[in-house]
Amino acid sequence: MELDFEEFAEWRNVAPQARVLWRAGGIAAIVGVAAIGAVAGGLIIGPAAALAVAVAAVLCIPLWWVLVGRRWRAWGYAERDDDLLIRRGVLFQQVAIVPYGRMQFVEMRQGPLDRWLAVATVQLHTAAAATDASIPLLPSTDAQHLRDRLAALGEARAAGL
Amino acid sequence: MPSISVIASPPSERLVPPDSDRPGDALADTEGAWHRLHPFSPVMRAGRLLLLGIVLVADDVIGELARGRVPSGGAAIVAVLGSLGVGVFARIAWTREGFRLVRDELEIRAGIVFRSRRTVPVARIESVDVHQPLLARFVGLVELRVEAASSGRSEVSLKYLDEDRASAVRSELLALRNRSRETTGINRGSLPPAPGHPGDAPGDPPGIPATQPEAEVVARVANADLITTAGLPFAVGAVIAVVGAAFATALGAPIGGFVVVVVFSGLSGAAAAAQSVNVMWDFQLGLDRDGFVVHRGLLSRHHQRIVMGRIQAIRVEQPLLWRLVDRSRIRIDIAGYRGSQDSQQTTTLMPVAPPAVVAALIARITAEDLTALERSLAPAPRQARWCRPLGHRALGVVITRRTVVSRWGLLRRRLDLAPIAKQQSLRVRQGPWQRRFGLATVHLDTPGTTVALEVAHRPLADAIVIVERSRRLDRPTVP
Repeated sequence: MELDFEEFAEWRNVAPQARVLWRAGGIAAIVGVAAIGAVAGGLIIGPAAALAVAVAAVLCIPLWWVLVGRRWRAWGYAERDDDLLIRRGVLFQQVAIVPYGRMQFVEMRQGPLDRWLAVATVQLHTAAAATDASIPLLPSTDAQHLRDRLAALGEARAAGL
Repeated sequence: MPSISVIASPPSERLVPPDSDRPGDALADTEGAWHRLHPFSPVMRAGRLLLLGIVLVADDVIGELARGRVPSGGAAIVAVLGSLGVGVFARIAWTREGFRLVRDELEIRAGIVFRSRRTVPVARIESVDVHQPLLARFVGLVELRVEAASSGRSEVSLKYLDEDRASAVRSELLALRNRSRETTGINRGSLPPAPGHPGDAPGDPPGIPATQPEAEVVARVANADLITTAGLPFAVGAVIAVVGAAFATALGAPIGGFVVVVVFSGLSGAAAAAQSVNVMWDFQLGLDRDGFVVHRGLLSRHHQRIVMGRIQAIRVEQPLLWRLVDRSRIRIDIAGYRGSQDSQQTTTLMPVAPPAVVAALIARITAEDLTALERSLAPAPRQARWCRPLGHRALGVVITRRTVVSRWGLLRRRLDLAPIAKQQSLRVRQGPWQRRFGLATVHLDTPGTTVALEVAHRPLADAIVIVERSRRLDRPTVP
């Protein structure tokens, strides 16, 4: 039985650009590690080792491609009447539920790469440090609207400590 | 919100001498003027360093005498120069430090080279606690710790004042806070006070809280209990060690190394146990209309106020060996209370308590009947044994209209309680192995780090019920 909150809310996905970003990052890392490994293996053991590393890397890339696709589908958020739901994870799944009245502040983050891809990360903070409520890589406009809506809702329902 | 800022004091200020360090001067009447701490305070703060110096010099002198020689002048010169230096430093520090009241804010300045100033809006003061380290007790000085409601470093402290002045400042700060809250309504964010418990109580009457008359004593810890629980691990450890050694000797194995290890670990454990007995000695819990008042400590006395409405979560904890004597300890999370470095101590509501006292205190805080709660704890489903083979029998959960209760822990039993109104967020998590059995774990996030409330390994339907229920009840009650 999956961790399934489908019936409770209308889920929205994070930006499609996230897939591009995660895939590119992963592939760059695989290629980088493989290059170092192949050179080292080639010098120390012989050309066969270099070839083996290269083959392994080539096999890893489609695997990573598929994994990122699943990861992207797993990420999602839903605005309900009283709270925000954020789900994530393929193997280890998590649904976080943050009542609007509990939000202390909403944070929006955007790095240089994010700006280029027009995405941003929105994070909700409550008085509890354990609260783990960030939505990565939303389309910039969505992120801004979400932040404004959340801030307004949070203010309207503030319950304090 | 208290903020820390490092600024050089404007030159004009030095022309205005701090004109009030006499006990009779009220803060409100001398607004804007700096009040000084006790002249002895810098020396007190340097206390350990000073002791070290004295010990070093004494050691030198005694060493010389023991060798039958007249002590050389070296030690004496060091001692004289040292005390001169300390004196000059203390004098300068004393004139540069102090506190004052400016427009409903308490301002505290400190430091000679790196000056710092912190301001705390009086209305945000949660409590003014009294601490008295051993050295300070000898000379009749106390430290006032001002706890303010905020995230981040929330505590400023006045080290040191003499006892009369401290109690005057303390009661005045509390009175000012109450007045300021009435006029500004700054505590709107707090939950409404329970009926019959007016939140804005008038300031505590003067007097160090140790002698404060009106806090009704609700619980005491017998020092015998304290020593028994601290000593239990040693008793058991000693028995195990002796039996082990006897076996080894019987088998003819050498035990020299074993004895050394046992003795040393015993000694280090004894130091920790002695410390825990020291800080919790003569523990007494009072209750007045604002909340609890804690008095404790053997060498240094501590007096701490716990505002009832700011208790976020409760943990009743029973280490394995404590079952032998049927005792538990109660720890709590307090919003915005950092209590500086000794958070382990300041989050303890009762260091040792019999079941009846635990139940009574839980009833006071949450208005729940603990025995009824424990009886209605729903055990984890059978499948949970695959996810937690050893501890699944200890798992249990119950949700009332106001409170979530979760029990867990195979050897060290814990019962975690949190008012639903204090919950910040929820997380439902499911790993691949749990998914095989249709189980999930719900984390209920409350402020603070002492209690991490989690309901482990429930069927997914249960998890959704927990979420929906606490969500519906979580709607704010404040208009």
